[in-house]
Amino acid sequence: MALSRQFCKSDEPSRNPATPITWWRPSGKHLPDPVGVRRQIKLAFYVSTGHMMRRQPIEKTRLLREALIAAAALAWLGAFPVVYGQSFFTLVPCRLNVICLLPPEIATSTGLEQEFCRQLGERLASEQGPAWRVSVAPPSAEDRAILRAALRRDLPFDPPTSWRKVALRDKVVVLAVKRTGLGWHVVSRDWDVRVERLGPLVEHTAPTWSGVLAAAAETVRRAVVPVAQIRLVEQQAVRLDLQGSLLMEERSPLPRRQFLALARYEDRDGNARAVVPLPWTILQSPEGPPAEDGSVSCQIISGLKNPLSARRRGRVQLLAWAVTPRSRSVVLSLRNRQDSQKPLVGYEVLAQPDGEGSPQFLGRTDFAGQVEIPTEDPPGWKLLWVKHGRRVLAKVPLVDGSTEFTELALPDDDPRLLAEGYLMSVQDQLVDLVTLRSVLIARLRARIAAGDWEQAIRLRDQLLQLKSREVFSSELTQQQQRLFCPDPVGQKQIDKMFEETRRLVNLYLNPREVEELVKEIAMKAPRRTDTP
Amino acid sequence: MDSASQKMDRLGKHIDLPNQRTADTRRLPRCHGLCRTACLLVLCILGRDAFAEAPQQPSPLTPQISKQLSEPSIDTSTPLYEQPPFDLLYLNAANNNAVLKLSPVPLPDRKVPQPLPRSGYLEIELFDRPGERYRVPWQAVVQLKLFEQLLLEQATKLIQEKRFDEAYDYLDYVATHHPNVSGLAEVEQLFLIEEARAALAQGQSERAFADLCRLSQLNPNHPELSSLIGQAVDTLVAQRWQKGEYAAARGVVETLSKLLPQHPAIEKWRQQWQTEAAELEKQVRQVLAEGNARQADRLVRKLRQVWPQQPGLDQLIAEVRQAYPRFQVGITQPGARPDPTSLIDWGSRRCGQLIRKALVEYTGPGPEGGEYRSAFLRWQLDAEKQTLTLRLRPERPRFADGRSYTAYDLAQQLASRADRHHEAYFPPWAEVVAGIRVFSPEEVIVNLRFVPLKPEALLQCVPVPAVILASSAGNRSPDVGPFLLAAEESSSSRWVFLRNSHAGTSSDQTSPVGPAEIEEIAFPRCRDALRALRGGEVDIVDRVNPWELPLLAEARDVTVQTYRVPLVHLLVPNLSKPLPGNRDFRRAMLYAIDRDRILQSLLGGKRQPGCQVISGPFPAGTSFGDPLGYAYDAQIKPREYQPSLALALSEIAFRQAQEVARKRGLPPPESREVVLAHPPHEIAREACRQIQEQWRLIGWTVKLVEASPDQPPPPNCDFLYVEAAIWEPEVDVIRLITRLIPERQYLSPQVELALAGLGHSADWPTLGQRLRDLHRWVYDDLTVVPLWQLVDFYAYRSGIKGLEEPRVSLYQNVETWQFAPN
Repeated sequence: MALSRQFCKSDEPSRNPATPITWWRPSGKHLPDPVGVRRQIKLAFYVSTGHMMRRQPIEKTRLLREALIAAAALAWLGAFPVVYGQSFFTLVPCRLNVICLLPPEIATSTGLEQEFCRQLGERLASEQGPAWRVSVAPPSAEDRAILRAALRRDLPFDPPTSWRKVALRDKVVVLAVKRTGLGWHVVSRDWDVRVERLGPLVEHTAPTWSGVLAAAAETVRRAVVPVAQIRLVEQQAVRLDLQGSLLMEERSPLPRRQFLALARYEDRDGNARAVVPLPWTILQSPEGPPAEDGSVSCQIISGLKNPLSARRRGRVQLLAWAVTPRSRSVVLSLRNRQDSQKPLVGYEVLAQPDGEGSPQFLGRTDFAGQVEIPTEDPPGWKLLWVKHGRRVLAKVPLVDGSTEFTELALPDDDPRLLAEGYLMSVQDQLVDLVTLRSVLIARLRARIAAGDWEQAIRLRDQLLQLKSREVFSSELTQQQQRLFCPDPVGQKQIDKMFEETRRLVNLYLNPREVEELVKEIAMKAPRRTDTP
Repeated sequence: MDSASQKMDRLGKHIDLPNQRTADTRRLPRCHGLCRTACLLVLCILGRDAFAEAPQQPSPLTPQISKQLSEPSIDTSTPLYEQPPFDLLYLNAANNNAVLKLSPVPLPDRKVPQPLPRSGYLEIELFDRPGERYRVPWQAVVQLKLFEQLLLEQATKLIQEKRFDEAYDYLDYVATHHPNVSGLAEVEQLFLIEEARAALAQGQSERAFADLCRLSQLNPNHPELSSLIGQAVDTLVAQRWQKGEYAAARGVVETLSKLLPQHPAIEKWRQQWQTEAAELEKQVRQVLAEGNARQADRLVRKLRQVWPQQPGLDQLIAEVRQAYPRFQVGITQPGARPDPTSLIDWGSRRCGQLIRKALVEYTGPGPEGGEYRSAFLRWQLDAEKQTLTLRLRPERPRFADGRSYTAYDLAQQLASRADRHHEAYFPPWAEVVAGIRVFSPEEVIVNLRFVPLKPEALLQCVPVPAVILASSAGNRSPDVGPFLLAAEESSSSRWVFLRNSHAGTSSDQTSPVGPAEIEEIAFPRCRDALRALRGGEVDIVDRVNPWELPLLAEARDVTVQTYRVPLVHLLVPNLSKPLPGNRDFRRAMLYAIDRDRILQSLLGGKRQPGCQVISGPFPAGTSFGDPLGYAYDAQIKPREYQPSLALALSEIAFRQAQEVARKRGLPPPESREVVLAHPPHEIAREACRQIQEQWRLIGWTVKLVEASPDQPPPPNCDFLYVEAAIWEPEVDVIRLITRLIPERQYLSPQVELALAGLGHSADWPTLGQRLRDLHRWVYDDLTVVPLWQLVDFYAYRSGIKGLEEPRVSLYQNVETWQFAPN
């Protein structure tokens, strides 16, 4: 905390005083640049010392004080390599605004409502400690309008502008208590300001009013979705700095979790211009306590090559938002990358639960290019394989129930599939031909050895009537010219398949053996005498 | 003289032949001639002893010897005819009454001289001591029993012991090998009479009658024949009469009249039947007058069976038929689950048309796809607005419970067919429909995503009330057809369908037309049904085996017709199993089937138009230019019969399949055995039997399993024999693959791609091209193994109107059937 304040300018109200200053590389990577920092410090030091040198002779005490300052700065520089690698997000408490919507008979009584909110705030604060900075209040007029939408799955949700200001809060948790026939129904949902997403709906029931407070605290705790900043460590691994993790009193082991990776594009004021999830990318953290620095290592599972390393213009934060798997099937829709109106029909979708084991067949896309992905029991995540014929077109992760509908754009692979089918039939013909040829050759040799020239000549004629290598090659060439795949990778595969088939034809339909047998018969077989 | 002799003559004149006696040879001293003769004599004597086979001189048989030898060993555990033949010789007291077992004595014609000679010797060879020959004076012989006589004796003994099966074997052997032995006819007659008597005692009158008929051919004057045959006839006729097998009972009496024209049982039974017929006629007229035409029909049919020669019978029958038209249909394939839209179940498709009429019915091929009609609705396609308007007919049939099929029911049903989570989901329909709305109580409008070429083809389903669709209890939809099944009058081999009073009637007729009742009678074999047809027990036979058509060739009062569209016969492989899932294996099995030969065998060796070997899953049409064949690519020739290629390929495929099974973690196939399932009727049985034989030739054992087509195929079967009604290829091929290959991951992706493109065809030429492409893919992949297409036949007695029109199934126009007036 003290370190961060040293580098904050508190006279800039638009900046969050808790947000540390981080130096940006020209590439926009969210990492402090130690070299640049040192240069800047040194320059400042030189400037200040130069300034000091140019000044009037100073008193000894002032000189001593400035020397101490310089020494402290040098010491800080020396400690910098240890410090620069650490994000301060782990030291930042999570600012929760809990909006409490109580039933009318409680809400109309101001005292009861306020008391409930106060008790809930105290309870949450005592349970979570400094990691959370909680404020609990009844809804304002502005909030009431959208609370219903926030608590319903089927209604569109458009939060007010104040709910998007990171300067004011990190999360808004909507809590509603309703009387039912079974007692009190408590429902809660988390809106994260940074990632601008609603969390899952969490519900709890309390039989009596006295249990509502505990139930409310429980639902709020469960509804809050962890958010982290992403630090790229290696190509396939990252570290997540969970917000406020170092402020927690106990570093209890964290469960295995999946995180959605998002890119938050900010304006100069730190407000979000857009929050874009990185497509088909999840981060998987193992079960266990966080590291000493409060971070958690995660494996990147993505359908893209380098999802986190891509160049991004402007002020960008890479954030991770925990996803809770749900028991709900997802409809996957495959679309043509070149023509998004065209569905991809008949593509196979397989799934590897947790990315392990052999992929299990789920189904083929229907006429709309869609296939339903069922959920596992218990729900988790799976690696989806999209295959078309022998080609695997994509391997993408999907968390069960994370959404109802999702779309994946792929290249149109139909021409390659048709080529593959055609070549498989050619190979079948080749197998049949080679087998038949072998059988005929064996029989022919037997007839020659037995001196049965009549049968030998008959078999020779059968052999010569079989399709030749040249005819095969010619047909292959003609067909190859007809086939064109707009996808360059697909076209390359087509060409490769044709090449391989041609090689097999040349290898197995060598006419030499047949020619030798024909010559042998021509030399040895007695000439037929034609009788009038 | 021939030229050779001339040559020889010429040679003889030049050469002194040694046999010419010359003067020199005449002058040889006489002693030399004597010496020569003596030497020759000595040589002969010596040579005879040296070179001749030493014939053993039979020793005289003395009492001492006969005492030593008189212990013949006869094996009683083995039937005599399975033992080496032997004769038995009985000697007199002077020879200790010995019985000797001999090798068969070479008597002339194998007949023992009767009486036995009193002088001379009989040469014998002992059976147990071959080579030892003896001479037995005839005087010492008491009896000589030849082997065939021993057999007859044994047969007689077995007959007396009532062991008729064993006795029959003896008699059969003797009749085959020794037909002229004396006593055979007597023993045979004894056998027949005794067996008949025993059969009668056990109540097996049919066997007794057969025996006695044979006896009457051998010996019509046998003293016991008349009484026994009378008993047998009485019992047999009574049994058959009781079962209702009147024609069979009459047949017994007819047979007796040919064998023993004067037998009193003949006249007795004829008299009885005439009396009964007269009584029945009286009853018929009485119930007819009372207005109970149904009962009159039953009685008059019985009357015809009892005594077809009854005077005035034809007129009476016509009268009854006019009042109550009832048809009896002989079937060999019952329909377990009536479904008029079934692709593969002949029986279900047939009887489904009676009690569960489809919303839209296929009636035959047309110039552009099939032709359809509907008793429920009219349809109108608006290509510009992309809508399909369905208007319910006012006179549409009602459900069996009297409910009407409403627009709401229709809309719900169409929506369920488009719902992927509903069991009625039909993908081609779901692809087309964008929205459904009920425009009025009688009209439903369907918004389409695109305009299909034949939208009515997608509406082939049985109407179901909305309340049943919404119910998850699996309730059966009420019947809605021109007839209702009278379950209480039906049995496991007879089904009675009564006219549905709620069925729609045409607006310009006040009284119902068409049959009042249809009775389906199941026969185990087609020829039994044809016999019943010829005998008048049934009026129609719904399916005649092609090879049995000659049985009707001479029946002048029976008409044979062909169905309008052929069926496509296929083998559907179980692609989830390693062997049939292997492409090379499927190809090998196809190469191993001589389809031409099997087809010829099914057709009884004749050519039938429309029956041919095919190369794809579509019908090829019955003639050149037949619009039904628009999906069939005639340029793709069926794969030829290549057993040597099949053998080699199947070996390769077997090893590949083992490898694949190991990779998948499945048990690898250990033995060369496949399971072939087929529907339980004769055409499939015969075809699969021949396929079994041909696969056996390449080293594969085939186990045949019968499986009803209305049930899912057995999970362990490798191939399923199917007769598919692919009449609207665009839709039916998808239905076939969806039904029979449910595990889509094993379906070839090229076939899947080709299927997906069918519905989006903008015009008929495009659709035709796509279907032919699909034909090519299926041909390459052998997703289904095509066999042949077969035209089917039905037969009916003359005097029935309405069956002469071409049809795709028997009951297509059942409402118009009637008996022609005489």
